[in-house]
Amino acid sequence: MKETKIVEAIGNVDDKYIKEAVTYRAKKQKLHTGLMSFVAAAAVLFLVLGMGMFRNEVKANSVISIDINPSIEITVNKHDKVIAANALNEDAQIVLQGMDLKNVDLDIALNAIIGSLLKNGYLDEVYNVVNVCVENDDEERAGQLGDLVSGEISSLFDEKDLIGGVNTQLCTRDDENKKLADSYGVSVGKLNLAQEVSANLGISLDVAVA
Amino acid sequence: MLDEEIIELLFQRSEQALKELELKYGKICMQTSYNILGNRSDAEECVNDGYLGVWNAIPPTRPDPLITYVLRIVRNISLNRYHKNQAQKRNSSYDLAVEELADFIAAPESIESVLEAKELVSTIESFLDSLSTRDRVIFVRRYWFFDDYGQIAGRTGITEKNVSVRLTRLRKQLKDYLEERGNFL
Repeated sequence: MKETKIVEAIGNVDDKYIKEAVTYRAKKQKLHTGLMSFVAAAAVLFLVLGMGMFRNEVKANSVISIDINPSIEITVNKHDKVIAANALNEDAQIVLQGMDLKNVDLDIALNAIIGSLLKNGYLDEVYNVVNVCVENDDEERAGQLGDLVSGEISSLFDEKDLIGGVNTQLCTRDDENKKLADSYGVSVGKLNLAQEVSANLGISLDVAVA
Repeated sequence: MLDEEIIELLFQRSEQALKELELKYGKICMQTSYNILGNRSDAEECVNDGYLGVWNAIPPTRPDPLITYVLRIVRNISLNRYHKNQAQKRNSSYDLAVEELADFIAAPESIESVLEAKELVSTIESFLDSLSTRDRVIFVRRYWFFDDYGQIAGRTGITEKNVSVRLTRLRKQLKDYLEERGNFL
Protein backbone atom coordinates (compact mmCIF):
# COMPACT_ATOMS: atom_id res chain seq x y z
CA MET A 1 0.00 0.00 0.00
CA LYS A 2 1.25 3.46 -0.80
CA GLU A 3 0.41 4.74 2.63
CA THR A 4 2.90 2.29 4.16
CA LYS A 5 5.70 4.38 2.63
CA ILE A 6 4.84 7.31 4.86
CA VAL A 7 4.24 4.99 7.81
CA GLU A 8 7.68 3.44 7.26
CA ALA A 9 9.28 6.86 7.06
CA ILE A 10 7.62 7.95 10.29
CA GLY A 11 8.79 4.69 11.83
CA ASN A 12 12.39 5.62 11.06
CA VAL A 13 12.48 9.02 12.74
CA ASP A 14 15.16 9.68 15.32
CA ASP A 15 15.03 8.14 18.79
CA LYS A 16 14.60 11.51 20.45
CA TYR A 17 11.03 11.81 19.14
CA ILE A 18 10.17 8.33 20.42
CA LYS A 19 11.68 8.98 23.80
CA GLU A 20 9.83 12.26 24.13
CA ALA A 21 6.55 10.55 23.30
CA VAL A 22 7.25 7.84 25.88
CA THR A 23 7.99 10.22 28.73
CA TYR A 24 5.52 13.02 27.95
CA ARG A 25 2.69 13.55 30.39
CA ALA A 26 0.43 16.61 30.31
CA LYS A 27 0.62 18.97 33.26
CA LYS A 28 -2.65 19.15 35.17
CA GLN A 29 -4.73 22.15 34.29
CA LYS A 30 -5.52 24.41 37.21
CA LEU A 31 -9.17 25.13 37.67
CA HIS A 32 -9.81 28.50 39.11
CA THR A 33 -12.94 29.79 40.73
CA GLY A 34 -14.61 32.87 39.38
CA LEU A 35 -13.42 34.72 42.48
CA MET A 36 -9.76 33.96 41.90
CA SER A 37 -9.99 34.74 38.22
CA PHE A 38 -11.19 38.26 38.89
CA VAL A 39 -8.65 38.90 41.63
CA ALA A 40 -5.59 37.31 40.11
CA ALA A 41 -6.00 37.59 36.39
CA ALA A 42 -3.99 39.91 34.23
CA ALA A 43 -6.48 39.14 31.51
CA VAL A 44 -9.59 37.06 31.50
CA LEU A 45 -10.87 35.26 28.50
CA PHE A 46 -14.48 34.46 28.95
CA LEU A 47 -16.23 32.09 26.67
CA VAL A 48 -19.93 31.48 26.70
CA LEU A 49 -21.69 28.95 24.54
CA GLY A 50 -25.37 29.57 24.43
CA MET A 51 -28.53 28.68 22.65
CA GLY A 52 -29.04 31.04 19.80
CA MET A 53 -31.87 32.09 17.58
CA PHE A 54 -32.95 30.11 14.58
CA ARG A 55 -33.05 32.04 11.38
CA ASN A 56 -34.25 31.03 7.95
CA GLU A 57 -30.92 31.12 6.14
CA VAL A 58 -28.47 30.38 8.94
CA LYS A 59 -29.35 28.26 11.98
CA ALA A 60 -27.49 29.46 15.05
CA ASN A 61 -26.77 26.68 17.50
CA SER A 62 -24.55 28.30 20.08
CA VAL A 63 -23.50 31.75 21.15
CA ILE A 64 -19.95 32.20 22.39
CA SER A 65 -18.97 35.26 24.34
CA ILE A 66 -15.30 35.99 24.84
CA ASP A 67 -14.54 38.33 27.69
CA ILE A 68 -11.17 39.64 28.58
CA ASN A 69 -11.23 43.31 28.98
CA PRO A 70 -12.45 43.12 25.41
CA SER A 71 -15.79 41.42 25.23
CA ILE A 72 -16.53 39.42 22.10
CA GLU A 73 -19.63 37.44 21.21
CA ILE A 74 -19.45 34.67 18.63
CA THR A 75 -22.44 32.80 17.24
CA VAL A 76 -21.79 29.32 15.84
CA ASN A 77 -24.02 26.81 14.07
CA LYS A 78 -24.38 23.15 14.94
CA HIS A 79 -21.33 22.34 12.83
CA ASP A 80 -19.19 24.62 15.01
CA LYS A 81 -18.76 27.14 12.23
CA VAL A 82 -18.89 30.84 13.04
CA ILE A 83 -21.99 32.66 11.88
CA ALA A 84 -21.17 36.03 13.41
CA ALA A 85 -18.57 37.66 15.66
CA ASN A 86 -19.58 40.83 17.50
CA ALA A 87 -17.52 43.26 19.57
CA LEU A 88 -19.41 44.19 22.73
CA ASN A 89 -17.06 47.00 23.73
CA GLU A 90 -14.36 49.28 22.30
CA ASP A 91 -11.43 47.03 23.19
CA ALA A 92 -13.13 44.16 21.41
CA GLN A 93 -13.43 46.29 18.28
CA ILE A 94 -9.64 46.61 18.27
CA VAL A 95 -9.23 42.85 18.63
CA LEU A 96 -11.66 42.04 15.83
CA GLN A 97 -10.48 44.76 13.48
CA GLY A 98 -9.87 43.42 9.97
CA MET A 99 -11.06 39.91 10.83
CA ASP A 100 -13.70 38.11 8.81
CA LEU A 101 -14.64 35.07 10.84
CA LYS A 102 -17.84 34.12 9.00
CA ASN A 103 -17.95 30.43 8.05
CA VAL A 104 -14.66 29.85 9.81
CA ASP A 105 -14.28 26.77 12.00
CA LEU A 106 -14.53 27.54 15.70
CA ASP A 107 -11.01 26.32 16.50
CA ILE A 108 -9.53 28.48 13.76
CA ALA A 109 -11.55 31.48 14.95
CA LEU A 110 -10.26 30.93 18.49
CA ASN A 111 -6.73 30.77 17.14
CA ALA A 112 -7.17 34.10 15.35
CA ILE A 113 -8.76 35.77 18.37
CA ILE A 114 -6.11 34.54 20.82
CA GLY A 115 -3.44 35.74 18.41
CA SER A 116 -5.04 39.17 18.19
CA LEU A 117 -5.47 39.37 21.95
CA LEU A 118 -1.80 38.61 22.37
CA LYS A 119 -0.74 41.02 19.64
CA ASN A 120 -2.81 43.82 21.10
CA GLY A 121 -1.53 43.23 24.63
CA TYR A 122 -4.63 41.76 26.24
CA LEU A 123 -2.79 38.54 27.07
CA ASP A 124 0.70 38.54 28.49
CA GLU A 125 3.42 36.20 29.66
CA VAL A 126 2.67 36.71 33.35
CA TYR A 127 -0.57 34.87 33.92
CA ASN A 128 -3.88 34.57 32.12
CA VAL A 129 -7.10 32.93 33.21
CA VAL A 130 -9.63 31.75 30.75
CA ASN A 131 -13.22 31.42 31.84
CA VAL A 132 -15.29 29.24 29.60
CA CYS A 133 -18.99 29.63 30.15
CA VAL A 134 -21.18 27.17 28.30
CA GLU A 135 -24.85 27.74 27.77
CA ASN A 136 -26.99 25.22 25.91
CA ASP A 137 -30.24 23.38 26.63
CA ASP A 138 -28.51 20.14 25.66
CA GLU A 139 -26.16 19.62 28.60
CA GLU A 140 -24.21 16.89 26.88
CA ARG A 141 -23.59 19.06 23.86
CA ALA A 142 -22.68 21.94 26.15
CA GLY A 143 -20.17 19.75 27.96
CA GLN A 144 -18.61 18.57 24.70
CA LEU A 145 -18.33 22.09 23.35
CA GLY A 146 -16.88 23.31 26.64
CA ASP A 147 -14.25 20.56 26.50
CA LEU A 148 -13.45 21.35 22.88
CA VAL A 149 -13.06 25.05 23.50
CA SER A 150 -11.07 24.72 26.73
CA GLY A 151 -8.84 22.12 25.14
CA GLU A 152 -8.26 24.32 22.11
CA ILE A 153 -7.44 27.35 24.26
CA SER A 154 -5.03 25.29 26.38
CA SER A 155 -3.28 24.09 23.22
CA LEU A 156 -3.04 27.62 21.90
CA PHE A 157 -1.56 28.81 25.19
CA ASP A 158 0.97 25.99 24.88
CA GLU A 159 1.89 26.94 21.34
CA LYS A 160 2.31 30.60 22.17
CA ASP A 161 4.18 29.93 25.45
CA LEU A 162 1.49 31.58 27.54
CA ILE A 163 0.86 30.55 31.11
CA GLY A 164 -2.68 30.27 32.33
CA GLY A 165 -5.59 28.16 33.48
CA VAL A 166 -9.01 27.35 32.07
CA ASN A 167 -12.18 27.55 34.14
CA THR A 168 -15.22 25.87 32.65
CA GLN A 169 -18.75 26.35 33.91
CA LEU A 170 -22.32 26.04 32.75
CA CYS A 171 -24.13 29.34 32.50
CA THR A 172 -27.75 30.31 32.18
CA ARG A 173 -29.12 33.09 30.09
CA ASP A 174 -32.46 34.73 30.52
CA ASP A 175 -33.86 37.97 29.16
CA GLU A 176 -33.35 39.86 32.41
CA ASN A 177 -29.72 38.80 32.67
CA LYS A 178 -29.18 39.64 29.03
CA LYS A 179 -30.54 43.15 29.52
CA LEU A 180 -28.37 43.67 32.57
CA ALA A 181 -25.30 42.35 30.74
CA ASP A 182 -26.00 44.66 27.79
CA SER A 183 -26.32 47.63 30.13
CA TYR A 184 -22.79 46.91 31.41
CA GLY A 185 -21.46 46.18 27.95
CA VAL A 186 -20.36 42.67 28.88
CA SER A 187 -21.40 39.14 28.06
CA VAL A 188 -23.90 37.17 30.13
CA GLY A 189 -21.08 34.88 31.15
CA LYS A 190 -19.02 37.71 32.56
CA LEU A 191 -22.08 39.08 34.32
CA ASN A 192 -22.65 35.68 35.96
CA LEU A 193 -19.07 35.69 37.16
CA ALA A 194 -19.29 39.28 38.38
CA GLN A 195 -22.44 38.45 40.34
CA GLU A 196 -20.57 35.58 42.01
CA VAL A 197 -17.61 37.82 42.86
CA SER A 198 -19.91 40.55 44.11
CA ALA A 199 -21.65 38.09 46.43
CA ASN A 200 -18.41 36.49 47.66
CA LEU A 201 -16.46 39.70 48.24
CA GLY A 202 -19.35 41.88 49.30
CA ILE A 203 -18.56 44.47 46.67
CA SER A 204 -20.96 46.22 44.35
CA LEU A 205 -21.79 44.69 41.01
CA ASP A 206 -20.53 47.86 39.30
CA VAL A 207 -17.07 47.27 40.72
CA ALA A 208 -17.09 43.54 40.10
CA VAL A 209 -18.00 43.98 36.45
CA ALA A 210 -15.41 46.68 35.78
CA MET B 1 16.64 -1.21 37.45
CA LEU B 2 18.65 1.25 35.38
CA ASP B 3 19.09 0.68 31.65
CA GLU B 4 22.84 0.41 32.14
CA GLU B 5 22.34 -2.38 34.65
CA ILE B 6 20.02 -4.28 32.33
CA ILE B 7 22.54 -3.95 29.51
CA GLU B 8 25.27 -5.19 31.84
CA LEU B 9 23.19 -8.28 32.66
CA LEU B 10 22.76 -8.88 28.93
CA PHE B 11 26.51 -8.66 28.47
CA GLN B 12 26.86 -11.24 31.26
CA ARG B 13 24.28 -13.39 29.40
CA SER B 14 22.11 -13.45 32.51
CA GLU B 15 18.47 -14.34 31.87
CA GLN B 16 17.61 -11.98 34.69
CA ALA B 17 18.10 -9.27 32.07
CA LEU B 18 15.00 -10.41 30.19
CA LYS B 19 12.93 -10.44 33.38
CA GLU B 20 14.08 -6.91 34.17
CA LEU B 21 13.35 -5.85 30.61
CA GLU B 22 9.85 -7.16 30.89
CA LEU B 23 9.31 -5.50 34.26
CA LYS B 24 10.47 -2.14 33.01
CA TYR B 25 9.25 -2.05 29.41
CA GLY B 26 6.83 -4.92 29.08
CA LYS B 27 3.72 -2.81 29.32
CA ILE B 28 4.68 -0.28 26.68
CA CYS B 29 5.97 -3.01 24.36
CA MET B 30 2.74 -4.93 24.74
CA GLN B 31 0.62 -1.85 24.12
CA THR B 32 2.57 -0.90 20.99
CA SER B 33 2.33 -4.40 19.57
CA TYR B 34 -1.35 -4.68 20.42
CA ASN B 35 -2.06 -1.35 18.72
CA ILE B 36 -0.73 -2.87 15.50
CA LEU B 37 -2.11 -6.38 15.71
CA GLY B 38 -5.33 -5.93 17.68
CA ASN B 39 -4.84 -9.38 19.07
CA ARG B 40 -3.44 -10.12 22.53
CA SER B 41 -1.85 -13.50 21.89
CA ASP B 42 -0.17 -12.33 18.67
CA ALA B 43 1.08 -9.27 20.52
CA GLU B 44 2.52 -11.42 23.33
CA GLU B 45 4.35 -13.57 20.80
CA CYS B 46 5.79 -10.53 19.07
CA VAL B 47 6.90 -8.96 22.33
CA ASN B 48 8.61 -12.20 23.34
CA ASP B 49 10.27 -12.34 19.94
CA GLY B 50 11.32 -8.79 20.55
CA TYR B 51 13.05 -9.73 23.80
CA LEU B 52 14.84 -12.49 21.91
CA GLY B 53 15.89 -9.94 19.35
CA VAL B 54 17.32 -7.77 22.10
CA TRP B 55 19.09 -10.79 23.61
CA ASN B 56 20.72 -11.53 20.25
CA ALA B 57 21.73 -7.95 19.56
CA ILE B 58 23.21 -7.08 22.97
CA PRO B 59 26.15 -7.57 23.09
CA PRO B 60 27.88 -6.17 21.17
CA THR B 61 25.46 -3.23 20.87
CA ARG B 62 25.07 -0.83 23.79
CA PRO B 63 21.95 1.10 22.82
CA ASP B 64 21.15 4.44 24.43
CA PRO B 65 18.34 4.96 25.11
CA LEU B 66 17.38 1.32 25.63
CA ILE B 67 13.64 1.95 25.52
CA THR B 68 13.57 3.17 21.93
CA TYR B 69 15.85 0.33 20.83
CA VAL B 70 13.52 -2.27 22.34
CA LEU B 71 10.43 -0.54 20.99
CA ARG B 72 11.78 -0.42 17.45
CA ILE B 73 12.47 -4.15 17.51
CA VAL B 74 9.02 -4.97 18.87
CA ARG B 75 7.33 -2.58 16.46
CA ASN B 76 9.10 -4.00 13.42
CA ILE B 77 8.34 -7.57 14.42
CA SER B 78 4.71 -6.65 14.97
CA LEU B 79 4.45 -4.90 11.61
CA ASN B 80 5.98 -7.91 9.86
CA ARG B 81 3.52 -10.19 11.59
CA TYR B 82 0.67 -7.92 10.62
CA HIS B 83 1.63 -7.91 6.94
CA LYS B 84 2.10 -11.66 6.89
CA ASN B 85 -1.24 -12.27 8.45
CA GLN B 86 -3.45 -12.00 5.34
CA ALA B 87 -6.62 -12.85 7.16
CA GLN B 88 -6.14 -10.05 9.68
CA LYS B 89 -9.30 -7.99 10.05
CA ARG B 90 -8.84 -4.27 9.50
CA ASN B 91 -9.92 -3.16 12.93
CA SER B 92 -6.72 -2.53 14.84
CA SER B 93 -5.59 0.92 15.81
CA TYR B 94 -2.77 0.49 13.27
CA ASP B 95 -5.30 0.00 10.43
CA LEU B 96 -7.14 3.18 11.33
CA ALA B 97 -3.95 5.20 11.71
CA VAL B 98 -2.61 4.00 8.35
CA GLU B 99 -5.89 4.75 6.60
CA GLU B 100 -5.69 8.32 7.90
CA LEU B 101 -2.45 8.73 6.00
CA ALA B 102 -3.81 7.16 2.79
CA ASP B 103 -3.91 10.35 0.72
CA PHE B 104 -0.33 11.34 1.35
CA ILE B 105 1.51 9.92 -1.58
CA ALA B 106 0.78 10.74 -5.21
CA ALA B 107 2.23 7.52 -6.54
CA PRO B 108 4.32 4.79 -4.95
CA GLU B 109 6.81 5.08 -7.81
CA SER B 110 7.72 8.57 -6.70
CA ILE B 111 9.81 7.13 -3.90
CA GLU B 112 12.15 4.41 -5.12
CA SER B 113 15.62 4.96 -3.89
CA VAL B 114 17.04 4.63 -0.42
CA LEU B 115 18.20 8.22 -0.75
CA GLU B 116 14.67 9.42 -1.30
CA ALA B 117 13.46 7.38 1.66
CA LYS B 118 16.12 8.94 3.88
CA GLU B 119 15.21 12.37 2.60
CA LEU B 120 11.58 11.70 3.45
CA VAL B 121 12.55 10.75 7.00
CA SER B 122 14.62 13.90 7.32
CA THR B 123 11.76 16.04 6.05
CA ILE B 124 9.34 14.47 8.49
CA GLU B 125 11.81 15.12 11.31
CA SER B 126 12.07 18.79 10.41
CA PHE B 127 8.28 18.91 10.30
CA LEU B 128 8.16 17.41 13.79
CA ASP B 129 10.67 20.01 14.97
CA SER B 130 8.33 22.75 13.80
CA LEU B 131 5.53 21.52 16.08
CA SER B 132 4.81 22.31 19.71
CA THR B 133 5.77 19.54 22.14
CA ARG B 134 2.20 18.49 22.65
CA ASP B 135 1.39 18.33 18.92
CA ARG B 136 4.58 16.42 18.24
CA VAL B 137 3.71 13.88 20.94
CA ILE B 138 0.16 13.54 19.60
CA PHE B 139 1.50 12.89 16.11
CA VAL B 140 4.15 10.39 17.20
CA ARG B 141 1.81 8.54 19.54
CA ARG B 142 -0.67 8.11 16.71
CA TYR B 143 1.63 7.25 13.81
CA TRP B 144 4.57 5.59 15.51
CA PHE B 145 2.89 3.92 18.49
CA PHE B 146 -0.56 3.65 16.82
CA ASP B 147 -2.28 4.70 20.04
CA ASP B 148 -6.02 5.22 19.74
CA TYR B 149 -7.57 8.62 20.45
CA GLY B 150 -8.50 7.70 24.00
CA GLN B 151 -4.95 6.72 24.88
CA ILE B 152 -3.59 9.92 23.38
CA ALA B 153 -6.21 12.03 25.18
CA GLY B 154 -5.26 10.47 28.50
CA ARG B 155 -1.59 11.15 27.98
CA THR B 156 -1.90 14.71 26.70
CA GLY B 157 -4.71 15.95 28.93
CA ILE B 158 -7.13 16.89 26.16
CA THR B 159 -10.38 15.31 25.01
CA GLU B 160 -10.67 12.63 22.37
CA LYS B 161 -12.54 15.05 20.15
CA ASN B 162 -9.69 17.52 20.50
CA VAL B 163 -7.19 14.77 19.59
CA SER B 164 -9.19 14.06 16.45
CA VAL B 165 -9.33 17.75 15.53
CA ARG B 166 -5.61 18.24 16.14
CA LEU B 167 -4.63 15.14 14.15
CA THR B 168 -6.73 16.29 11.19
CA ARG B 169 -4.93 19.59 11.28
CA LEU B 170 -1.51 17.98 11.71
CA ARG B 171 -2.05 15.67 8.73
CA LYS B 172 -2.98 18.65 6.61
CA GLN B 173 0.08 20.54 7.83
CA LEU B 174 2.34 17.59 7.04
CA LYS B 175 0.85 17.16 3.60
CA ASP B 176 1.40 20.87 2.82
CA TYR B 177 4.91 20.66 4.30
CA LEU B 178 5.84 17.69 2.10
CA GLU B 179 4.33 19.23 -1.02
CA GLU B 180 6.19 22.51 -0.48
CA ARG B 181 9.42 20.57 -0.33
CA GLY B 182 8.60 18.62 -3.45
CA ASN B 183 8.39 15.24 -1.80
CA PHE B 184 5.00 14.48 -3.30
CA LEU B 185 3.82 15.97 -6.58
